[in-house]
Amino acid sequence: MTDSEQHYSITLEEYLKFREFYYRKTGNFFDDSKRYFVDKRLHERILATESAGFRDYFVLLRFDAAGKELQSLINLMTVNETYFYREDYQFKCMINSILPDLIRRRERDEALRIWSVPCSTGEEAYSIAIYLLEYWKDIDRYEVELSASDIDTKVLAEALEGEYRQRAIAQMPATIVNKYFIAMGGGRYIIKKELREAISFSTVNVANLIDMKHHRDYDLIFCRNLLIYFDDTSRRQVADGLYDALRPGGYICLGHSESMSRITSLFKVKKFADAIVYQKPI
Amino acid sequence: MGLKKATTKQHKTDASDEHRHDKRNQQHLLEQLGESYSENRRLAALDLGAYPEAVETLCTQLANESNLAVVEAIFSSLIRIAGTSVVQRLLPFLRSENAVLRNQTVEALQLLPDDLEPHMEELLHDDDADVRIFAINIIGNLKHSRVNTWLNQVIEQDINLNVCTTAVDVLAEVGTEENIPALKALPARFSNNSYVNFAVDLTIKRISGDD
Repeated sequence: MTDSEQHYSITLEEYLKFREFYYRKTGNFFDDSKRYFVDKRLHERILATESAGFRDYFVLLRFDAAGKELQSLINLMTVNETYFYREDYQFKCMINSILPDLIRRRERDEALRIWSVPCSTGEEAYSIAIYLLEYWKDIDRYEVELSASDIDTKVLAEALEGEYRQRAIAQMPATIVNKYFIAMGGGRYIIKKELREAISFSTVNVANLIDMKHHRDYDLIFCRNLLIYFDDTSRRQVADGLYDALRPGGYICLGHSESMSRITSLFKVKKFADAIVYQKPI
Repeated sequence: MGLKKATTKQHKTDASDEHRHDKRNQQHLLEQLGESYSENRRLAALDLGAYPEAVETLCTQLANESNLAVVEAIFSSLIRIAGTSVVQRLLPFLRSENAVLRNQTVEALQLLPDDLEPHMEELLHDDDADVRIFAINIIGNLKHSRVNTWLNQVIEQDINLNVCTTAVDVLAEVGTEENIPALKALPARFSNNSYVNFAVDLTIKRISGDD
């Protein structure tokens, strides 16, 4: 071990202290097996911030009023790669539990409205569409309006284009790929036109209350791995906007490391067989 | 049936939203805050976040509001408005018998560190030990440079065991070496109470980073 590595070594007590802090801030809990993963990223930020060691860095992290350092650390700790069927247990939950509950309580003959936000380059929204078409037995009995939004117009343009590399579709069965994509050669695949045209893409800034007023009456919102990027005050504001965007009894799915309960008590926690989601009270 | 593209980019707003767009001036929002329909009260409360002069009315409503969604909206707007007047009007809610209101007040004050600072000494010297504990709960998640100084002050001066051990618990996470002398001196102030000994030992271990 070099002097430099010795200088930045993180003790077990420090690891436990950090783990508690990080869990409280993000809801993401690292068990003992993740120590190497966590230590490595802490080292990286200690070096980047020119801190004298863990203690020095932890003070910076704890008292950084703007939360920028915590954000930098979160960015390192989270894997933000997006791909088709990512965290598909929530899509299974949609099919097995959420949609059956929504239609059971449905009094009006009105379309079910699903919103993917932020949708990035569209992988999540198209995955939802495919799951509905493939696995929801009632898809022919109900109309489903699928919307997808992002603040970034560049990624929205890519979503509309619907062209992806092999890596993005690697989690999907070949039969599904063959059914919904056209192979373009060179490891490129494009979503079939019918599916591209079934989704309404739009821009939105979820932290802007006025922007959010245009988004209402959703039955289900997928808002995954977004809230972790806001500071406490903005996160609360976003949660307000999402609450008002839902119909009473509507559901919201967050990323696996996120918890609405740490932001607001507006939503009820619903534990389904496939996933834990949040519901606007009926 | 099946997948259907949303016909309009922006979905039609409901009646309460239309009402909200038509009459968004402050006077009407204040009137809406008193309506019996809770959804209108919530929307009015959120929009009143743009009016710092609405603090008094929002806080008055807060004291009487029973709908949780409206309570949350009022807190969101008060946090958005921020400032001394908000903190001054929120502090009395720390004495509320309503646990939801009290806890939401703690969370809101945590987001207003600079506005809260002038009141912290007063809170930490409150006659009511529960209020002092709530103040420490606020400190536990407060982004302010004086956090450790305030906690040191508590464990050096406060005569209540529960108040001191609450501060020790918070120090286990935020404490630094500057807190260790005060921590070491604490057990003697409580006749070496076994829980105080345990909590202090654990906290010093955490601060020191000993395996």
